[in-house]
Amino acid sequence: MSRNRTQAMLFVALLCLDLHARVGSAPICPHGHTGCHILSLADLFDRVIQHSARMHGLSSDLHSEFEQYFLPSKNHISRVYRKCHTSNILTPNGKENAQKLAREELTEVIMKLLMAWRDPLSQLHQSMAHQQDFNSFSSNKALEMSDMVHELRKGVEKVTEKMQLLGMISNSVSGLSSPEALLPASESGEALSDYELLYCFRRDSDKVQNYLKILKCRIVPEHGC
Amino acid sequence: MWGDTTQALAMMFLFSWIPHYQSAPGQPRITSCRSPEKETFTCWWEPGSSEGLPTTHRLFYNKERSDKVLECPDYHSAGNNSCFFNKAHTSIWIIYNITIVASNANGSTFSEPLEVDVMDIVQPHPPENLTVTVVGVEDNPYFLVQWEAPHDTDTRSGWVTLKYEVRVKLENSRQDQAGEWEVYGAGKQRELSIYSPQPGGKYSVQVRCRLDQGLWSEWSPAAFISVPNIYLKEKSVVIFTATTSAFIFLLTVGILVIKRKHVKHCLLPPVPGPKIKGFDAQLLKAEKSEDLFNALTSKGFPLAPEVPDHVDYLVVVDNEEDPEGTGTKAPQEHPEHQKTHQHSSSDPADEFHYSYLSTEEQLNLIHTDRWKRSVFVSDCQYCDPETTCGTRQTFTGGAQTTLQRPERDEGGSHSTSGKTKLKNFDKDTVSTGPNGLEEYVDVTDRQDCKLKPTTEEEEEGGEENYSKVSGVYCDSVLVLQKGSSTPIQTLTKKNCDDPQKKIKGEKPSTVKDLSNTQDYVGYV
Repeated sequence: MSRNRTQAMLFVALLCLDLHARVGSAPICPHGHTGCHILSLADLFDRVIQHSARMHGLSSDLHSEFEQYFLPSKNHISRVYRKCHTSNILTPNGKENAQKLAREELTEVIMKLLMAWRDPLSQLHQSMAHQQDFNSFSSNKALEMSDMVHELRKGVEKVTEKMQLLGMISNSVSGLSSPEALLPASESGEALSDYELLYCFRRDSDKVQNYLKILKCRIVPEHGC
Repeated sequence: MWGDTTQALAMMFLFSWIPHYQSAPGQPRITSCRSPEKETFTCWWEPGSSEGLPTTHRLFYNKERSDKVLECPDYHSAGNNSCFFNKAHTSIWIIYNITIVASNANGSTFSEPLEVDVMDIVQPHPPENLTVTVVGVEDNPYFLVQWEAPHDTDTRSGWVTLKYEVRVKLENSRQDQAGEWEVYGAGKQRELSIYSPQPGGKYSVQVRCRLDQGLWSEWSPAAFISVPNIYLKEKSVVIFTATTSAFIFLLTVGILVIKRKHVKHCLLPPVPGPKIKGFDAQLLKAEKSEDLFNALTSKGFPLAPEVPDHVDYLVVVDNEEDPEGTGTKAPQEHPEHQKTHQHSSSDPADEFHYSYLSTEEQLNLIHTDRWKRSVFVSDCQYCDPETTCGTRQTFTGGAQTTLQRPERDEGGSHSTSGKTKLKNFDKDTVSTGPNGLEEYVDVTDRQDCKLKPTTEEEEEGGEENYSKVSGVYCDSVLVLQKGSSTPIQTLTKKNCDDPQKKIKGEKPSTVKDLSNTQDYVGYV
């Protein structure tokens, strides 16, 4: 009898610990303490921004490797007419445009971008792994990139929730739970090549990074802006 | 599809195909495009050959997914042969297709098109207001480097993130060559502390920056700083102390070296050698055995009066078994001597028996000063009866004295040898002159190895002592001594291992001064 009880108590203790871990390293503040929450939001933003910076670095490396080994000619005419599958998503193309955008919209754009790349990146990794031309290092990078997009999306979701919780943005952010299953295809319907995918992703990861920074300095400007 | 753009382009192509005697301008080339803050950008080109005619250059571009051909909005803000795109005309994450057209009176020339995305050409201006100061306590100074972001970048809105790098170089390094640059990453901060600068060194510091993962800017203009040399005072003290200790050390070493014998004697005292009372090594060196042995035997042994000119030699032959022979011979040859011999032996001992010769006087009687003889010195290496040594020996005087000891029982061989000896003697012409001193007779020594045996007896007992015998070697060597002041010694059996050696050892003295020789080796 006592044995069962001790086991049950241990189990409960473990659960509690687990719950604590999930909550995160943010200081435990009673609900409504704004100072406590804002600090943690800034930390969250910092983490997410670091994450996106790392993701962009990876994509740049992969792209330059690709360009170095497979496309010696710089003047690739088809480049001008290339179209990424995310081109349909309206994204601000400059600082002013991004600043003009509302917080919610900006957040939404970020989320859309991240969601749009979840499947294509895993496809990219698979195709790279199968091809003999790529070394394992590049293939691992692609896999890491794919995982990062996944993590980043979750991170941004958390930030959004936090912001919504704090009332900084309205609850009108939509499209978070329903991913748009966009297949990466050009206008003519052909599937994009690996190189084109890499180029598109490199561009989009840079967008995400910039948008997140703008968002952070707009919402929590006192920390490092 | 075939919009204005294509028409314009077609027109231009047509124009370029028109033949002209004067050529169209050379092809221009776009050199670079740069965006300093990710909000605007500028492109520069270089014109081709102008052919002497006034040439105009125009920049045309079109954006991605748009066919509209646009011309450069600003040809002047960035200088000659440049095109400046302001914020309104700049779109990030969009590919620009840019072409330069150079045209003169004769025609136009198109440059190669350039595709550029502003995201890829971001290169900021170098940081500004670089200052370096020496901060810290005297014994632990460090550099504090401070700077500011380039003025045109917007960091407040978070649009761009600047990262910095600082590099430092020692200007007056001792190797007479420029020092190497040391690069330090400074992250996003706008100051940096560099520790442990070299005292008395002169440094130059530079800083550069970049936006996110963009291109690094140029290095800022260098700032110079000199570190005060605080170690001079300490150095002089250290040098002085080092010099003094080195001097003292050298002095000590020098003294030790000079007095090394003394030190050695002090530290490792020599082991005293064995000392014989009354023995003086110097005398031995001087080869004066008389003095030497005098010193040695001053106590117990009577000193014989010196007979400088007399060399007494004794040839000891054992004639015991054949006393007749000896008796016959002796009297044959030297009957008188023998008689004297016999006569002289007036002591209680038997006629043929000399058990103990204790005094030299007796010996003198026996060996009269009339005789001067040398004992055979044989160079025989081997006492082999068969071989003849052929050594010449001088034999002065023909007298030969034999001491007979009838007591001893010698081996037959010995007596035989003794006889043989006598025989040998007989063979040789021995004659004595009137004084017995002057005559020299060559005696070929044959088997002197057979000479001997009495030595053995002496070794065994001690009953008969031959005072002149200084040593016995093995069985066949008898060393006799010079008469005068030599004390009587008991014979001792010496080590027979290497008789030659010992003989040789004594030989030098023998060879040097025959007249004064002390030891003669008689081979028996």
